[in-house]
Amino acid sequence: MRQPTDEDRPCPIHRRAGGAAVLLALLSAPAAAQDLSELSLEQLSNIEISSVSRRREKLAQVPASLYVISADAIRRSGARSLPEALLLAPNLQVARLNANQYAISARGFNDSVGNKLLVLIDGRTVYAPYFSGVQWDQQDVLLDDIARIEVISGPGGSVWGTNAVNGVINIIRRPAAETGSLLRVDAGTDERAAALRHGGTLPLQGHWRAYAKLQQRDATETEAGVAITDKSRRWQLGWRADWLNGDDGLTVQGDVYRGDTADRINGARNLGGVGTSGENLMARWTGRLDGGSRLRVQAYYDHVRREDAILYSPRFTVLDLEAQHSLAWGAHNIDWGGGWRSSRDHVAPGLLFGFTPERARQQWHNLFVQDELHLADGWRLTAGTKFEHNDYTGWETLPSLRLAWSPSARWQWWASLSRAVRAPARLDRDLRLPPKPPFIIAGGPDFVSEVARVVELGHRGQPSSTLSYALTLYHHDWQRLRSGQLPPNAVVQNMIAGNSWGLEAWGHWQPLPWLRWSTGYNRLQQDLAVQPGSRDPVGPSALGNDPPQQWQLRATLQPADRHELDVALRHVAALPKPAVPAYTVLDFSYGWHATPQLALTLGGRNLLHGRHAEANAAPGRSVFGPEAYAQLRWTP
Amino acid sequence: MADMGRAQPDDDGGEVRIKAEFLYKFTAYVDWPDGALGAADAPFVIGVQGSETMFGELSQAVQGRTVQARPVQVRLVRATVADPGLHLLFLAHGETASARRGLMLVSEAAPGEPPPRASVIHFLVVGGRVRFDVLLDGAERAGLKLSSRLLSVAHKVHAAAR
Repeated sequence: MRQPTDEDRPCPIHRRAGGAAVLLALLSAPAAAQDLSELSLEQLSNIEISSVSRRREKLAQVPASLYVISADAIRRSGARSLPEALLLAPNLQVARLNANQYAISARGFNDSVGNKLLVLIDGRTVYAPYFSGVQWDQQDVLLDDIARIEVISGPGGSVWGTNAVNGVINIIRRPAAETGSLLRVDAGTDERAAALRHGGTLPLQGHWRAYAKLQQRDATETEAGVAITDKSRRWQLGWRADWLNGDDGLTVQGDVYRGDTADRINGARNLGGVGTSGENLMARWTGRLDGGSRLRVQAYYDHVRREDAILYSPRFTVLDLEAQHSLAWGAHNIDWGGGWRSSRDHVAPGLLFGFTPERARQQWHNLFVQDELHLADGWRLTAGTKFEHNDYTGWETLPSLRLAWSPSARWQWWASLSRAVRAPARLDRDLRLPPKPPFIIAGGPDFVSEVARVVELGHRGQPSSTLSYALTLYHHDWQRLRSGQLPPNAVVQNMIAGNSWGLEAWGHWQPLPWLRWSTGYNRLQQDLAVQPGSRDPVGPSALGNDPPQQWQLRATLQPADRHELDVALRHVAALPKPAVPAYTVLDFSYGWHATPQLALTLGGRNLLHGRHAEANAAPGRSVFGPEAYAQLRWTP
Repeated sequence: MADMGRAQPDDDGGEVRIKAEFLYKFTAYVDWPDGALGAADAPFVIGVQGSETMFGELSQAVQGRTVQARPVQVRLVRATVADPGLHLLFLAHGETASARRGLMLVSEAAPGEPPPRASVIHFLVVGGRVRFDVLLDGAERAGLKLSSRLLSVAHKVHAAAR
């Protein structure tokens, strides 16, 4: 499967047609109601497809469990952060930990150090190499810049790498030519933000944009009403320059951020808050070579710092280079390429944890090849493998085989067989609790990769132009999952194994031009056990805390011209250990396009249930209650 | 074949209707090579491959209208059967067809996929509007001449290789 590219771009704002009275009259009536034969080519090019009625996703052809969160869906849901946008994906588990942190996973193993999900922003891997997971309080973008978010649950295929065991989240931002000026203000009972974006043209038919964002969140409370010290402030700014012709060309971009949470006072000691900061810089070039094949080369630099005097304070610098070549050869579509990544980190000890050694340098190399073969009668076979080398376990092989059958454009069946690997990270081998001996936990010098063999069966259908759905059944055979031992000097080992299986399903139905229903469901069963010979005192529950099922139901309405309403009901079943009760909450977002330049939104989240927790153990965990917010977007 | 009249109304905010209207309008801005259209009163044949919705919309759109003073026929086409009588072929998402002199191929964008190499015109949705790219390579291969007016309204014109 190819690396997805940016979707089609909207008219750059400096080319937008002016509003003659006649055109305005034409533009305001929905396309379906007009007589188009009277229009000229230019006028036909200017008719706005009514956005509620727009068929949201073309029937995706990808033989994987892929859910695409569109920019429109993000905007209409009132999402204010990446995790809130990810709530829209029915194949993800999103659990909020406190005002700023989330645990996000697919197909299980969700916790704050969840390590089986690969997350990328514009092709830059954002998981921290020292624990192979994502710190969601350090990942943010201007949500209005997002073109789409692709969420693949399960191993993504040979084009993605290690850590894509349970899924891949690919956050794709629009090119600079597609975004114009924006002023956005969010005011709410629990958080506030302001953002500014501006852009323009560059010589040689380039475009640029820059944005700045400021955000502030109030502290959350425990069930007993005790305030938690997670009140936070954060700023981020970024820029992007593109010289693109269609999908091809050069993009250079970067972001910088800094955030802080409230000081934690323990008696006379001030342990400070959690300070986060980072900078990244990326360049990417895509072009067509003679013969029609496509080449993409990308390089990025990412420097991340986290200061937490209680846990530990890592800082790391990553340099990454990769190249991918895509060519068509007869019935074959071949993608191949490779990459090199280097990281240098320093993990300073906190009160609870340390890493030994404190500093490390690591390198990863990878090579991959994938062939998508079009056989007769709508059959497609995709076979590929990735070879990845890491400093701990050497070469790992990740083969993947997918078969898809599309008897017509309306139906598709697909099946896949893959081997996916979660390579060791510093956390597995070098963690020490406490930082100085005698240790309760002493890392795992022999810790090796966790391995999953995955079988999936999927089906997509579009029985009519108003109804579409997708189903995936999966089974993961897990070997060598991380396990512990009885303290003292407990060593981290690979002695948990077992199976997990489940179902992911979603559908969209648009019975009326102004009403669309979206629904999603996922079910997960796990059967994991500590292997004989292990003295692990805790067992598989240490690997993650997962609900056996979740569902969501969303209604997207257009009650009147220029008004939109999005109402979503979400249910998450009870989490086993630590026990978290089930919850069902309602979110709604009402938007009004007062003028073509000004949009106002009023919304509420976490309604219906009262206050609920989403993770961790009582009594110290955060609970989240009903909140209200208003948003203003001005696009001159 | 079941009645292929108007597809469900407002199924996609008018996107298919707009594309159908474009398909009809394009024919006024394109010159086919000599002889490709057949006798002076032979019908102009448009094929639709991979979309019953488009077939329905296009059939409605061309009613009572002519292309270059000829009556218009719309046919639903299967990928595996090449129809030599077509003058314009619309390829829905994911469909492909081989280039042929005198055949104007119009495709539509699947996210992330490049236009089929043989396309002459390629629809994409840009900023909530239906736009189209022109591929001069495809036009050259098919022996078609495109009016500069068409090129000026296009979203992007992909120059012929070399």
